[in-house]
Amino acid sequence: MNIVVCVKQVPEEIRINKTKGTLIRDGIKGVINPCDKNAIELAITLKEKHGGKITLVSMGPKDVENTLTHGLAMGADQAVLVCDRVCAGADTLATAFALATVIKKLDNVQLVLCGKETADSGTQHVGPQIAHYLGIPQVTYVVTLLIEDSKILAKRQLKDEYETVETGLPALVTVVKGINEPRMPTYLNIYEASKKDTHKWCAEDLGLKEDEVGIQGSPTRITKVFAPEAKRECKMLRGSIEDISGSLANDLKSKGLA
Amino acid sequence: MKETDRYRGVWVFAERKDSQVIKGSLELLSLGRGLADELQVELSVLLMGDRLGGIPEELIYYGADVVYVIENPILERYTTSPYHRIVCDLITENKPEIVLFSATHLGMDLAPRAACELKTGLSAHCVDLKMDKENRQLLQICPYFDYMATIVTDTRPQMATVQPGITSPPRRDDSRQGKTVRVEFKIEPGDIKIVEVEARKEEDTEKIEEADVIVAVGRGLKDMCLAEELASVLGGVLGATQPITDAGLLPQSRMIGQTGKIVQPKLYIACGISGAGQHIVGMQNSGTIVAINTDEKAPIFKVADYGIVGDASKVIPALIESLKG
Repeated sequence: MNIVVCVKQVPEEIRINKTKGTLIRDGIKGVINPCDKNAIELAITLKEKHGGKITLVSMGPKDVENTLTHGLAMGADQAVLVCDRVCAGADTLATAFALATVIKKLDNVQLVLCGKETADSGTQHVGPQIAHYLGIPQVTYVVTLLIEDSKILAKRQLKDEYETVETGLPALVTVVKGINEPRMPTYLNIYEASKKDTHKWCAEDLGLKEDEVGIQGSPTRITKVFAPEAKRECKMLRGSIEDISGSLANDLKSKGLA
Repeated sequence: MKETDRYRGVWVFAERKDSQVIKGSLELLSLGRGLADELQVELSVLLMGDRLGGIPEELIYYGADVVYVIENPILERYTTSPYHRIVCDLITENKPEIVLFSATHLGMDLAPRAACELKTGLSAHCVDLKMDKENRQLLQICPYFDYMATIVTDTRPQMATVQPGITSPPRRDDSRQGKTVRVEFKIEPGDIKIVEVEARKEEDTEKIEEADVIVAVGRGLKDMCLAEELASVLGGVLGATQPITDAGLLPQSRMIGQTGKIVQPKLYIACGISGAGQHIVGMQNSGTIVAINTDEKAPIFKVADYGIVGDASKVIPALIESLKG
């Protein structure tokens, strides 16, 4: 049973180019999206039980390779990175299309795992959209997952209830953070990961046309990035800590808040 | 005629919990009504379920001009595929220019897949919607890290999920008139079978949504005990930003913001919180907001009533002393 885990590199620190409205990635370390580590951990435990091969699939600039190494060191078998300038600036729809195209090229993929959301944009769109492009069921917000025969039994964590569902394979599952505790790779794991394959595919390798990917393939655009308007008149308290805390305590008491 | 001109009307997806339309969906009716009036088009609501009784009329009282009703036992509880099929087919047939969903678990499962099939854009967790009337373009305003971003879609329909709690439900007016359209559909059960549903009991018994005072902790405060002491002096509870709950310093149930709880206490004290957009949507409607942060430019001060520039771990002990005194 082959498993794909979709992985995104996110910046360790968030800084915005205010004129372009884009994330500043230069000089900021890229790390693996936290929730994706849970998806990889789940893939590893499923592989231990059911066998098969784990492939990490990602899209982004060349340096995402270093991030993928973390996943390989955790225990994934290989990685595929869609790496092409024409793919840059993709929104969720164009991203899902490129990733789904990769997954279709891989052999006998029975299960696609994604983190519930990414730490940077956090839209939660890409999982369900990949499932649509692959024409397979999606099970979102999963907190436990069992595979029996060619079916999955998944417990979904919703707002005030848990819902357990059953569906056939192949399927796509998005996992919540609480599903497991991702393992930390050892130095030996990291050394061994450097010997595993990371295939870099460009748009042409995948038969992707320019208007299907990147900015051209994205129906949404950011037109403006702005600081939130000041919603309140903020009274800045200045002076010694004692003065500040004294005057704040008095105000809170006079308002009946303390 | 431009392709986009073929699309007219504003649609809202009505989410139910049993026989009640959820508050988030009623809030969409507020937003949708405003947009429809501005564009001079009808506001339609899409309602699915089994034995829906008087819900369609209720939706008219809350501002709908048209309610599309699809009743079938298969639709009693949400599963992706039948809901997806109906949403996509009805949108394709009726061509609304705007479709809104509440950014709930259901909305976030349904909307992305539908947008994908319809090959159109979708924005996530909008906190405000405005209209560029000339171009009939929906300006979708979303939290974008410490900033806000305006997102537009060139394709139609323009689809968005909207953060629950950003506006109030409309006033119910039982003299309002509207049209209920019952749509017959051949509905397949789909590929997902619900096996069991159980209530999710929170291990954490404190309901921060109901607290009068919240002391919220961000990355700028290392000492959780200090915050706890301040909370106890004020008779309040502890809340947190995502990095704090992610790090396991406080339980997940204390997370305030877009993917956590939306709170409105009488007093909110933000300690060492810079004020990422995702957090602010969860607390901006609190009564009095006090912010303590080392960075004078931190966005949290824009939503605060009182600002203290300083290290929360030094300010809090002094504040505790003053409150006790």
